[in-house]
Amino acid sequence: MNEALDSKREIRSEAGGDTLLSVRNLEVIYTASGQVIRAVNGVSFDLKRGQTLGLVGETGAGKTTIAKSILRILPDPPAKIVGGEVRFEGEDLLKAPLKRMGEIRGKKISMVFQDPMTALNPVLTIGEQIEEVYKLHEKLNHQKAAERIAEMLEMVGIPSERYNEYPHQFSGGMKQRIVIAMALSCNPDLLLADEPTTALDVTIQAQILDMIYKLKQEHNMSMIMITHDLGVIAEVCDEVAIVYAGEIIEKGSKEEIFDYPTHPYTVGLFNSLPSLNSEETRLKPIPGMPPDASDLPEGCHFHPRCAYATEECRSGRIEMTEIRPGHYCRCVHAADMEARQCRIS
Amino acid sequence: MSNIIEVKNLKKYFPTPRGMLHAVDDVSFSIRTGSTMGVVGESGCGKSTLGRTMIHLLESTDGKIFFEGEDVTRLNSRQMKKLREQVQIIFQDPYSSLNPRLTVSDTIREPLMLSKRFSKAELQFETEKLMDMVGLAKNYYLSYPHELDGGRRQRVVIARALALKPKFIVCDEPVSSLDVSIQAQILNLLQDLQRDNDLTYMFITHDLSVVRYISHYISVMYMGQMVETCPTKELFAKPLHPYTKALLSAIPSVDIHNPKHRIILKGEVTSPINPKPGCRFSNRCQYAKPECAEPQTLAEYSENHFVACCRAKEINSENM
Amino acid sequence: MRNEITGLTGQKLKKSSQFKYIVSRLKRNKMAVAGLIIIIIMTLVAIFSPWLAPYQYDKTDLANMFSPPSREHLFGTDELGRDILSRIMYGGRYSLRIGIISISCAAVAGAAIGSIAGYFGGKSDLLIMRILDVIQAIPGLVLAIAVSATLGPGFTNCIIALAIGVTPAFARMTRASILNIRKMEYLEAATSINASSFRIISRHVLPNALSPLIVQSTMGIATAILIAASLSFIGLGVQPPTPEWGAMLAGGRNYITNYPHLVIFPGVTIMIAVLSLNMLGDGLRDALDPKLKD
Repeated sequence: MNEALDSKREIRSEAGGDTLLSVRNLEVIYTASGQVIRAVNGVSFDLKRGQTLGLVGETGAGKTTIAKSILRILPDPPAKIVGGEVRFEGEDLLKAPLKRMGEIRGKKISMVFQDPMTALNPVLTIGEQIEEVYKLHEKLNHQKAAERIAEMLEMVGIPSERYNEYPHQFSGGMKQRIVIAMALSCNPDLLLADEPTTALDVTIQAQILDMIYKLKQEHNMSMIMITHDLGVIAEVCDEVAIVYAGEIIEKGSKEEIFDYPTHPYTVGLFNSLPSLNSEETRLKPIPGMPPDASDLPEGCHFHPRCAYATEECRSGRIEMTEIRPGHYCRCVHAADMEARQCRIS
Repeated sequence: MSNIIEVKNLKKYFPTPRGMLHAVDDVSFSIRTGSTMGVVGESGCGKSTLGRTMIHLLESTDGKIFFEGEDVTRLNSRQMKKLREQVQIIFQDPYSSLNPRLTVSDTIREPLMLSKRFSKAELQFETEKLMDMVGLAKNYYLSYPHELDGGRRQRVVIARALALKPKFIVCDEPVSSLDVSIQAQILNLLQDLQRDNDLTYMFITHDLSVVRYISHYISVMYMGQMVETCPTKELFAKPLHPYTKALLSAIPSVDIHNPKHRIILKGEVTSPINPKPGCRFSNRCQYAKPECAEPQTLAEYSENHFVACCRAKEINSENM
Repeated sequence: MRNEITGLTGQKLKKSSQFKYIVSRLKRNKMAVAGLIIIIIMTLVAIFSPWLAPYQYDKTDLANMFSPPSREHLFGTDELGRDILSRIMYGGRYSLRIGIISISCAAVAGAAIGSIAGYFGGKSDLLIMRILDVIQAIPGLVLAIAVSATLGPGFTNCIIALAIGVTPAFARMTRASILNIRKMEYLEAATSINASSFRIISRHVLPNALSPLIVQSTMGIATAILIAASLSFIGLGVQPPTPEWGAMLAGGRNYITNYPHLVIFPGVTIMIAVLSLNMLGDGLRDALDPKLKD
């Protein structure tokens, strides 16, 4: 196991090759009874082949909306992608015809959802459900598909004899493995994992993360891991983007973000975590609540909760600045913050 | 220091079509007055059932419960009424634990009113005092639960639990459904309340980092049984039971420079219906031996550190 | 909005505020308001029909049989020369009363039966539910026909037949919502603060189980009016010359080809009543759900 962890680091540093996915100024709104909710406000990021990007943020920050807009599976209405581009292998998915999207979904990009209980159809056996993916994308016949499915199930650690069983016959952890097997069945280039382990127990979470990691290595796949758990990010990601009120407020390599968190919100997140290592007696929570997306504060969306907020923070759009090589932060006080730096760990 | 609550050989079984479900199976422990005892374990291990059985929300199948030295295992309704003013519970889900048709003040006022200790004017004063105590602004007095976010709802739940000035509170995953920044606010609040009101907590959670932060003692449960119990620091420094070791190693850590040695457990929890005697963890345990099929009891390994594993000595002397 | 009443905490104010809250939410639903207004107008017209109606409902005028709508008879006259408009106005007294009384009886009985089954569970639940199964296995209209046929036609018997037919639906619904509420942790919380069983049921269980019942009742009245009309239509309901809407339809059916106005006007009236009640029911469902945000 240790060797696997060590080799993980090396592969990661070599992997940085061409850009697979490039999201620019993505904007998504929801309209509900006349109110406009700005769920995603100009999100941009790049993802290289073979790398894993972690999107971290609290409930309602817009993480899932970002992932779903990449696949264009947001319910419209109420959701609407109003701007930006999502370039996947150079092709703008937001402008692609629906037929083309159908080819991409599941084959090139696939998604794993948080709740394995609702992601599987209870009246079909798991074999039938995975077969459907093959029939749709690979046009395999029944015999060939069955072989591939058996292979897939073994890969995620489920005995292939259970091919003909129904979802309710599996435990939560097993179901999530099946969902992942389905997502990976066509060797996608990009896996969008939306809190894949949040509903699971820690020991099962460890199994699943370990499995996802190994599969990702084998298939040289890219991944976007959406989670609120900084621990999970630390385990699996190369790059990290912190999302707050529909904006990326800080991004960089995992080492940069974890060693030099700069945005006051990022720092606050780390301080809110009860640590497993240090002997602290008091947590330092972020005061207040995340803002209402239908009524975002002017200027920096975080300023009402920020201890360092000044006049400049209260108006205008705060731009992303590069504070260190490859480390971007959306804060007018980034330079001062860096000086104040409190190193984690 | 005395023990506020003591549990001896407590059992809680549920009948199911396939046999008896052993949710809590022969559990004994005590909690010191003014301390926090953390109970950790994975979903379905019986930790919530244990908490509810201890405060009589569920009736025990067998065993004894002592509260402040008195046997409270079987109570008549008058005694039950008295006990209920002293023990309370805070629930995991702040959505289902508040009646959607009652305002914040209605909810907090209810226990005060039922105790018949206050006049009408005092009721309002006390309600406002409780809201203040848990950090709820006065303008939420007439709000309905659906108008509040998870953190504020949980504050209402806490205020209701505190209304009768209990001595012992079972906290059943009170922060699991909250975002980290809100979670920290609630944890701090619980700590302040404990200090100011001499409360004793039993803190049930699956989140080891939370339990480490808030507890003085920790008990680890696996399939209805306690497998290890000791002071918090000791548990993290020197876990003895193979399950505890696996559990600790499985927590994703934010420390990116010192990757942990992960113990990846094989398989999953087996069914707690009519379990076989013997160690229930043995089918997933890397150290399992034939003698593990014998019933295991919690035994003192070192001072204040109890473990239910017949191979604890061997395993832990090998410098694993 | 309500947050502005900070500090004002009297019991009265709060109680009315919940009611006002529901009304204000209902008001925003235009369809529901329209439905409510139509129902109120229909009820008022029915109540004051002796004064409002241009003619006596049973006054025959053989010189004026089958006259089409005209200035004297806005909706025309029927086969005995009775004014159709007046009959419809009077008819509301019977049709609406049948609907409201039978559904009220069914709702109260159903809620009681369903509460017992849902809250206490076990053997009583099993027994009650099997009996209800038997009743529900028979289609509502067929059951109503059977009961009316046994008891004989007439206004009261029609109400009884309808009430028996709809009670199982209410019982089932109450049981289902109580089973749902029983899982809620706020009931455990109420137990742990020493609330009595009576208090738990009356304050925590029933108010949360009631709103589907109210909604179902509104829509149930519409169904009851329809079934009552059907009963009258086949001659088992209210008997002529009582101007019940369904009975009017039944009476006019022989002349439908030559004098369609005999069935069009009562038919349209039934349709409008049923539609308004359904619109009101839909609106109430949304207004009563505390979880739906504004």
